[in-house]
Amino acid sequence: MYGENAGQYLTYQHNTQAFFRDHREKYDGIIVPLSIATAFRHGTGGFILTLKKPFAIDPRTPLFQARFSRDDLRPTHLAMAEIHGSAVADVIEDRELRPGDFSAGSLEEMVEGVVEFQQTFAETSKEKVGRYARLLGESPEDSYEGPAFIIPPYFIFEDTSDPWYDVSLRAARHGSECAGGDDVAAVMHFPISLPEAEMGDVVEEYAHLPCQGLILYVNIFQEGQQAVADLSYYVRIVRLLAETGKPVMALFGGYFTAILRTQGLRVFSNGVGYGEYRDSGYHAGGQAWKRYYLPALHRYLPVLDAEAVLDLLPDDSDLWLTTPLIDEALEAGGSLHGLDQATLLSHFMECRDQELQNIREQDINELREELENTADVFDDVPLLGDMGRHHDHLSRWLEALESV
Amino acid sequence: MTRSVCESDMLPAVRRLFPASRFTRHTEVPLASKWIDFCALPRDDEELPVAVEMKVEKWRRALWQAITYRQVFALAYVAIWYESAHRVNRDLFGMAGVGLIRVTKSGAEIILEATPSPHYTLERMQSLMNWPDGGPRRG
Repeated sequence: MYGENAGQYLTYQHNTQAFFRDHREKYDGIIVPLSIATAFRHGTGGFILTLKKPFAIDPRTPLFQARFSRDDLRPTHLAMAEIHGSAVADVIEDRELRPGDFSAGSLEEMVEGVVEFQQTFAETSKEKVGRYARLLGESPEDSYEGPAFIIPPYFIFEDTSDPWYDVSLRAARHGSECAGGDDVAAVMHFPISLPEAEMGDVVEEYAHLPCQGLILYVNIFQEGQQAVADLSYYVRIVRLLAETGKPVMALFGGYFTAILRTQGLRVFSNGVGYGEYRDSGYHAGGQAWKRYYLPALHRYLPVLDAEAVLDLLPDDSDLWLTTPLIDEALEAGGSLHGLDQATLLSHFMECRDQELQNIREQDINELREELENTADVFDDVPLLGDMGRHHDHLSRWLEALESV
Repeated sequence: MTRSVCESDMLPAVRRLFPASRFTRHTEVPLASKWIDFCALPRDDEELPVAVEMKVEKWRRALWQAITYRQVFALAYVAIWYESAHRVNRDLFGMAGVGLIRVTKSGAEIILEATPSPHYTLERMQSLMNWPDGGPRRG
């Protein structure tokens, strides 16, 4: 499950299909948000199926727990609600979902609806496979593989006394039982504030579910900004989960999460260009600013900041700052700011591919040493060391990894 | 005492440094994910476009912003309230090529000249700026 040598799943975005096609060899699988699977059903289905990569559909159920103005409801929210069954559909136009909304049998109905949607996705979404297969220069096939694993509905819970904890466990259990022979991955979704004293129990409960894999989703876990205590806790959670023997995926993450492969994490997912973290209650869209992935820092920076950082670093710093794609553009007189989004994303994908290779080949001490060297170089450049502080996360990561 | 002052209080004095007879003046101009507090575009070729970041106290943050503006504008300044001005590390400003404007209750003065950015060209600035609909507001 998740693949033996897997590293990275990408969260599918409908507006970057060319990217997913062009970089097919650089990622291991795709997470398709239910919102996109419903909004562009045939387009998404046709495209995903013809890529012939492992994929799974994230039901994003916590959206229904979120309080937001019903004026902001979108057609995709309603379509998602319909798949989630009557408990959700009955309330979505008026208010957020509450644990008490599940009458006898309605939680099971919801789980079965969501599981069935995923299991029938391939069969019911192949209307446009011919078109997408032609774009790939291939002939359409008679049938395509469905999701690599099923993700039952899940909910965010604050701690083990939160009623949503029990609801989430029940949903995961029923999802595991009703998925037939398909592999199931149960999502554990909570904020990093979940008391550590309860974590052992949480992990044990999920470990005993009849599912084949686990997915860790810490809400709004911004690895570039979290405090050392949070990062260290996250490492301990990953290790606890790895000890269960079930393969573990982290939903959302960046380089710090990727490094946790050395601690037993099998795979992680992230968005393309943004999406290293996510608030599961976020219901609106938004504009993605152009950002440049600075491989030495293993993080994105706004392009102007990235240009300023590159300017200030000494030429002989030996840091990993660009890829051939970027070098070529800059040599032709371009600027990072002037690059189009497709180029910036391709650069990111090149960097991530190399990062994952490094993580597979190096041990934790070598990876830490690289972070330490980068932090030292940045500290020594007066304007970056004194003000930019774009590298502060490196010292926090190092401290957190030191506890390993 | 500085708590009663905010960045917008500093704007009139900063604007007077760049008179309308020589510059078109714009406030809160979007630049990628940032907003430039004030910029002045020269009316003739004799002078250079200027971007100004205004801060009452947090000069380090302002300096970094101004450094990023130098990717687009010829000259970048930080305008700082006079009660915080003595805390500023002028060496860092000099190193960065960013100028410093000291703002008082009665006016503003340039106390460190900005040096022209090597990245600036008019064509580059025009291609990279994303003026809001209808162009920037006149100061």
